[in-house]
Amino acid sequence: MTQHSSEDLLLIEGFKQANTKESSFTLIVKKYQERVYWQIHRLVINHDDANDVMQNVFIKAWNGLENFRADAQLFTWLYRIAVNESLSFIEQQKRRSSIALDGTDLNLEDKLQSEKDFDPNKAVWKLQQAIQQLPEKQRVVFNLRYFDEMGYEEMSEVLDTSVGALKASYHYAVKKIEDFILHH
Amino acid sequence: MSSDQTILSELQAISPAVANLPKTNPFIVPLNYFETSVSNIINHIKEKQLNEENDLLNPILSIEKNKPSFEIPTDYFETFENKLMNKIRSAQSVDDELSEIAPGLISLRNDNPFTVPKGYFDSTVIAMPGKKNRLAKVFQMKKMLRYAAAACIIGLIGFLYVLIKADNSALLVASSSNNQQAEELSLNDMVVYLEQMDSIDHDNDIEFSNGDEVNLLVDLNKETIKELLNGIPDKGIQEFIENEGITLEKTSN
Repeated sequence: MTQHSSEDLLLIEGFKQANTKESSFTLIVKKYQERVYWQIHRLVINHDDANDVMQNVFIKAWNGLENFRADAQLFTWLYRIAVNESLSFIEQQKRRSSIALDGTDLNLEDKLQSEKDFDPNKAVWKLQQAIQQLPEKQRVVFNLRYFDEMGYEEMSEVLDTSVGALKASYHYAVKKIEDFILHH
Repeated sequence: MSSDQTILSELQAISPAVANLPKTNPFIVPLNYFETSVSNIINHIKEKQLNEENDLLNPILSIEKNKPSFEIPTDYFETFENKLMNKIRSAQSVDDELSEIAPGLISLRNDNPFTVPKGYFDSTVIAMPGKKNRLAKVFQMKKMLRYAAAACIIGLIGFLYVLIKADNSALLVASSSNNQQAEELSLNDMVVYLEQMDSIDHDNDIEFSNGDEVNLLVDLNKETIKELLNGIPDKGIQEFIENEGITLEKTSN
């Protein structure tokens, strides 16, 4: 069983009390919103989409926190919701837009290029372009490891995948990114 | 979280090119986004709750959902937190809301004025879709009686035929067996048998004569004879006497 921080435990308990429910939830959102937001943003690319998804994530958290059990960390639990909601959102977008025959999602690539200050010659944007070429699962694993610096054990809880499989996914993801950067 | 150094070392081992990339975030968010996003989230949650409650109260209105708009007033985020908390506080359960609007309706909500016949749900037969109830084949009694009568007649004829045939065969068997037995009998056996039969007949005669002889014999007195012979001419009587050689006794009369 994972250890909760004492602050998280207080917030969860406060949420379960009627008189401190809203204030506790507000503190939870304030504490984790930025990390959750960036995780979502890196997956859905667009700010407006990220905003929508984040709202849905915290609505789900509001509805589910009452029955939240201490078998996962609060942040891990929020991340899990965020990843699932982001991937669901991307799936919905795919259904609405055309999909390239090679399986890559042109819509995300288009969104990336329409970002403000986008410059394909800059390394940071090239890295983002490379990430968008990755399969969905590898993209999530790379983001969690590279940007959020998440450990494999914690990632295993978020993605419900074995540590070995996650290490392999990360390795393949890095190699594909390297290949993209060197050849583009 | 893993330490930054561990992750960097791992990345160096896999791909030095990627490890050397600047780890800068190229994306930007609107100014004060994270300061106001909490209010937005809480507002959104409360809005959703209110919508769900309205859906329960009036399902027709739930068809027209409010679509999220990204256009917001200038000072929306500055004042939003207070507005949001006010909305959260104003959020009520269905019962609470109903108690304010019409308290009398709360108690009536669970009272069902309608009734069904006693045992209705126990005896209700649910017709399975796609399966027709199969009706039993109906036989008409008139038609059945005709068949029954015909069967009786045929049966009776058959029975009589079998009976007659059985009798004939029995007689044939009997006669054939008698002939066979007769052939097997010797002449002496037959003589003995006939003598026995003759003695039986005589025994019967004796018994018979020993019985009520008076009743069997006609009382032939003179008067009766006269009456019997009255219609016969004398010539005829004379011829009969001569033919039979009967001798008549002379009477004094």
